[in-house]
Amino acid sequence: MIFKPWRRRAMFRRTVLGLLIIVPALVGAEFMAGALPQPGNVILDDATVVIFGLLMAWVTFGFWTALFGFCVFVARGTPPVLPAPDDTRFPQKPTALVVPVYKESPEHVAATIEVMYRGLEARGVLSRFEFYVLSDSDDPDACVREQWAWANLCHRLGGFDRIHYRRRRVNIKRKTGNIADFLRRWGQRHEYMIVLDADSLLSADTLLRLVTLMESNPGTGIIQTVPGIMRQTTLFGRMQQFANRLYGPMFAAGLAFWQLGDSYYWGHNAIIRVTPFMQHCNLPRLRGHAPLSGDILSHDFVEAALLRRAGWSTWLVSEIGGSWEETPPTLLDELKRDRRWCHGNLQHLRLLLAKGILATHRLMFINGAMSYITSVLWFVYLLLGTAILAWHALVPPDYFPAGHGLFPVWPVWHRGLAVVLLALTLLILFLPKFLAVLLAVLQRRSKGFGGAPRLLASMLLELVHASLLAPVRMLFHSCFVLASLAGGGVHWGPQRREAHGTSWHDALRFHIPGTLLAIAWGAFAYSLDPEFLWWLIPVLGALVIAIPLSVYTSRTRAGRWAHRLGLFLTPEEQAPPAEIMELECALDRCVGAAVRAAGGFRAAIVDPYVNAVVIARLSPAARHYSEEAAISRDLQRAKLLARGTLALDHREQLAILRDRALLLQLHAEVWALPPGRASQWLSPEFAELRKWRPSWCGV
Amino acid sequence: MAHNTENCADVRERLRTYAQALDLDCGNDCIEAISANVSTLFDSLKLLRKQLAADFGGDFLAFRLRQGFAANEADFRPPPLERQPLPPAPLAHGTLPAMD
Repeated sequence: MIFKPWRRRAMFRRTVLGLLIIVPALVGAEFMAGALPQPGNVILDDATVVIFGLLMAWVTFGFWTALFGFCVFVARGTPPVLPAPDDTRFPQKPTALVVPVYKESPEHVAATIEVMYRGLEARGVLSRFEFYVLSDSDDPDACVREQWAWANLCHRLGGFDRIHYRRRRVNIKRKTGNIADFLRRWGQRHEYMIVLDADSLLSADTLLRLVTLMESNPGTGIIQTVPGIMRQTTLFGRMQQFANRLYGPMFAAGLAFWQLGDSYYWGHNAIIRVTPFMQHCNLPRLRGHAPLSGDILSHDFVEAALLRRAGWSTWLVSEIGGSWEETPPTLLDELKRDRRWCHGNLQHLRLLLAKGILATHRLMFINGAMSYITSVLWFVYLLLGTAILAWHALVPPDYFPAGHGLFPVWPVWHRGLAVVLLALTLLILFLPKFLAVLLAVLQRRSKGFGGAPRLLASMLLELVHASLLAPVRMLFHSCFVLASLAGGGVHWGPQRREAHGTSWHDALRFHIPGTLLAIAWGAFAYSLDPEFLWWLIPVLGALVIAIPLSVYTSRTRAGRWAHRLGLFLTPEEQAPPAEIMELECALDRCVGAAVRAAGGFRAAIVDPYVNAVVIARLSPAARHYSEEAAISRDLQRAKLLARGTLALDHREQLAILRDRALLLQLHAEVWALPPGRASQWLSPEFAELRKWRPSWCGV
Repeated sequence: MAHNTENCADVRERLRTYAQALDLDCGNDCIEAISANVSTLFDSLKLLRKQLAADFGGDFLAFRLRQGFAANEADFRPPPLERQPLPPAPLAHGTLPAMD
């Protein structure tokens, strides 16, 4: 393996970090042992102390990472930089920008591609980049809309030779299979690939910077940017956006400080060297039956570990801006995404003992799994606290335990020690947020957040919100962990990115069990000792108000209201970068053009242009059908003409979308239906729609 | 395929709708001429398509792609396949015993 000069530095920093985590965890656990009421139940006490130690280790890990980041900024002004020339060069090697999609908004995907395409074109480097939309969508309507959006995008940009669309018929291995399929087909055409999510946006400067970094560092396999959150409108989304913008750079700098070339890959907004990725990162399925078997959902961590195992370094470059993504707009949407992430991160535990993986990446696997396991630990910790209370309330004290001296053993509880421990824990949890505010003020960035007073107010409100959400997340994450360990599968659905708000019905359905649990738990604790309820109020209270909290924070009206008050502002909101402004314009254009294909499968048959796009993508070679297949095909055609699109299921519709001859035939036949039978196809709305004339369509 | 004889007004209306769907300003004369000569919807639409695609060797698909997207059919195809096989999943090297 090539000697890497940063490895010694990394080793030292990680050793220091390890000590800074372990020592406070041990000291904290010792304090906790002293703070528990005595004499108590040994099993309950020991379990509480152990779990507290683990939780302390977890929170101190975040604390020190943030503190490292703070120190890096204060000491150097900028985070550590991967060696590269100051300016970007004309890329020597071709780069693919790949966008795996699964039933995402095709207009949004098209709009982000348009912004990046135009940016690269303006810098005169477009010839070194190609875009690939890699669809795994299995819904016929979505497939048609995707193809239509792609065709319009290519036409608008003149980019048929640079923007490619490919749809897989079978979604083997989900996103990893999608990328692997791209690599098999076209991997050798490109030296690098930049992986994007459906909502990813990178500025042209950042794209060029990434390529330059790759070309300047030939031993680097992955360079991960730190995406900022953009375009949030709900109160929940805006608070997440604010938190990401304020705390994100500091945390990222801290991570980069101790990870150096053994860093994370987050699955998108990153550049990858294609050849080693193809050689070493073909992910297998996890063997066996549930739990945690099958496709690796959180593939990115594993890919980074495998690439690193092969000797290629992986870097997190927090100093590069111009990288954005969107975030789930509501709490429920975030929790749905977490269900998938939780399962994926727990799967990493099965890879802990895989040969050749570096210790740092093994720790990252543990760290990822702990993101969710700590919720279970916290939940159990609270249960244990209540059980200890019940023990002391219900079991009469034994003043003269066996083997003790002449004097009675009085029950004691060092309340002061418990308060100190709680205060220390809160300090560890919240100090990084105050440091982030301080950093923004020191770096004169507070104006971008609305000025120092508003920045502080926003941070305090975000802190309260995060504190209220923590117990809700704890409960859900605990359920997710248990469900995954019990062998529950994970539904692979599209991520919702638009802000539609959470209905009361949905909030009630998802949060009512937690609310009822909190009420019952509180009543039980109160019956044992009214004073103990105060210790549980921050947790139980948050669960009790989870329903209205979930509903109100999901609303865009609340988000706008906060914006008017100058709360949760971000520099990107105050002075949007050119790319984000262009994205809004591009979205308008794409959404406008999409009207024509809104009917999805029906449009593919009726609309002459949508029909042409779908057909043009199919091979003109004549297909031979067996007698049985031909009969089935005729039957489907007849059903479709007689009863409309509802007569066929998705599988049958997808088969028709792959049948060039049948699509041509159906288009001709539908338009020739007599007026009575044509109404379901050529409805009045359809006629109205046709009157809309796209600007691109010249005669 | 059954082609019923429709009345002329229906044929004219359908031809107009189809022309609208193509974002074309087909003159009344053209539509009148087709509907007067051909009595079935199917045949009249076929004739319209044939006339529109006259400059494309009768290829109506080529007409639509040129008209709508200023493109050829080849533009809609993905780049040629390379069929580069990926190395087998890491267990094949005997290094990840936990995986297939």
